[in-house]
Amino acid sequence: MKKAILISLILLFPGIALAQTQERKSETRLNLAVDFNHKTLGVYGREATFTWEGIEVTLEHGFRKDKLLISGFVLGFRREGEIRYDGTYFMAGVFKRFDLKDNKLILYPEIRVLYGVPGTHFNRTWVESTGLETVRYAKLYPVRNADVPFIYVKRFGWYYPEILLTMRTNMWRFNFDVVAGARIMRFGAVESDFQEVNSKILTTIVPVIKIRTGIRF
Amino acid sequence: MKKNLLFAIIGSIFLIGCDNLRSLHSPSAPDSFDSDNLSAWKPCVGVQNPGYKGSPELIHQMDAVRRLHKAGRMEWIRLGGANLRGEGRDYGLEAKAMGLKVFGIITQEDLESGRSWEDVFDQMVSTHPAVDVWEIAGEISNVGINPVPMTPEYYMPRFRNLVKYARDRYPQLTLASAPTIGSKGGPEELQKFIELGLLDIDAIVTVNIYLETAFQEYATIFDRNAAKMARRRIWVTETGASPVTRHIDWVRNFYPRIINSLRPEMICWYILYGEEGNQLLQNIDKPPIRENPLFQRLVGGVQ
Repeated sequence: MKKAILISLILLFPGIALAQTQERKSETRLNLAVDFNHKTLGVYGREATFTWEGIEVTLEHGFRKDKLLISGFVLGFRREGEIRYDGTYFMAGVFKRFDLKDNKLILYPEIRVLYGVPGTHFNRTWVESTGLETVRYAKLYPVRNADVPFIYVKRFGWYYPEILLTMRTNMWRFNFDVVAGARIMRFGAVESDFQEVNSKILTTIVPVIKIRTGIRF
Repeated sequence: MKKNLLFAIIGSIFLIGCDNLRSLHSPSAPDSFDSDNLSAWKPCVGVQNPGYKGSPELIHQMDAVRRLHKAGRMEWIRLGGANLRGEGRDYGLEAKAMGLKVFGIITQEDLESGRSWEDVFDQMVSTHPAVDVWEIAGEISNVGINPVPMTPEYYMPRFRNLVKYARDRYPQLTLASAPTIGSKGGPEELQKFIELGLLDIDAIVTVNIYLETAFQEYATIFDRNAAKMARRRIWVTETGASPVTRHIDWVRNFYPRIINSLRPEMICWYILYGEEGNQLLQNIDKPPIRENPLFQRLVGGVQ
């Protein structure tokens, strides 16, 4: 998957370099997307598998003419999980538009930053016990790196980047998109027997598939 | 034609996606717990201890403790009201005789009774010989249970000295820090404790958890200090849900989340009897005693 993403980006680069500068109509769209995510992480001989979905609402604005290779920007809101704290994000990103097949198919490379609260749904703990006593444990957790307004506890939230490639087709005012991409998320891991402690940070690439539809205003 | 076909395919995939999202699937369900049973239950229950040996309150409560212990659901008893006057002593002794381990609390009222904390500790140890772990005060800033609240700045140096004293004089005993409040303000207090050196002290780190907000904030603190906390044992000394209809769901769904995020060695249910809503039993003072569904499930040996 990592290789596929890398190859996609390399293949896209000449397109970016030779970016079309044609003028289009400036347009604003409201999009709704669902996505599917899967990742297995190995932690000190244990494995944690995360499979989850998200739902996003985004407002997308395309410029009349590219600005510094950027065709437009996206602002949005994202939810994961049923508990309000478990994955609530604001998103902001920019994209580059490539019109293919006489504008019947459009390609959008896009980069975003997600900022929000991971909650506890990425936490995992493995415990080895003797009777009631824990003798060893390992723990996996999201590396939180951002403060959240009105929350006194420091670094309650996190932010991370997301790289996406959208394939879009338009029908009247509506757009239908298939999106593939990856998130770069950081996790921490600790293993301890209460005497000896090992800890590390894992930077992981999480593949994501999205299905999106929207309407142009 | 091709465009319509593409439209149909993408539309179908989207609708399937929306159908899956009727309930968003979060990765929170831990692999090792089955939400249909009570496998995340930890064998500790808080017991308020009115009365004395032979009194109806003690007889009925300790009978319930015996049944929980026999069902493998209770190995620790957390005494809610041990004090310098000797209240709670009989509960501790009877629990010890059953084979339970005993978790006692020294209240702020006793600690601040005019003598040094070390003197108070000596007297509590001699008055309550059954206690294995001593919690030194609790919810220190909660004026609801502490007539004289403390600040972390006041508490920490005294706690540090007491731990050192107890280790030298009573090596068989373990000390636990004051649990922080299970609702608003608790995580802030824990953060302050950590800033003041709690993790450098050889003691069990304790918290109470009653609200989702507090849990999320505790999880943040535990994640952020994961490596620093790795040599410390963690206890959730109080948790529970109100009303009674939420009890089983709390153990099935909230206990696993606590374990995954805070990795506590023990979680104590608050309480066996004495607080409407959280209690596992009703009408101990005017029988017939009513057993709440969680108690019935626990003693029934039903997973």
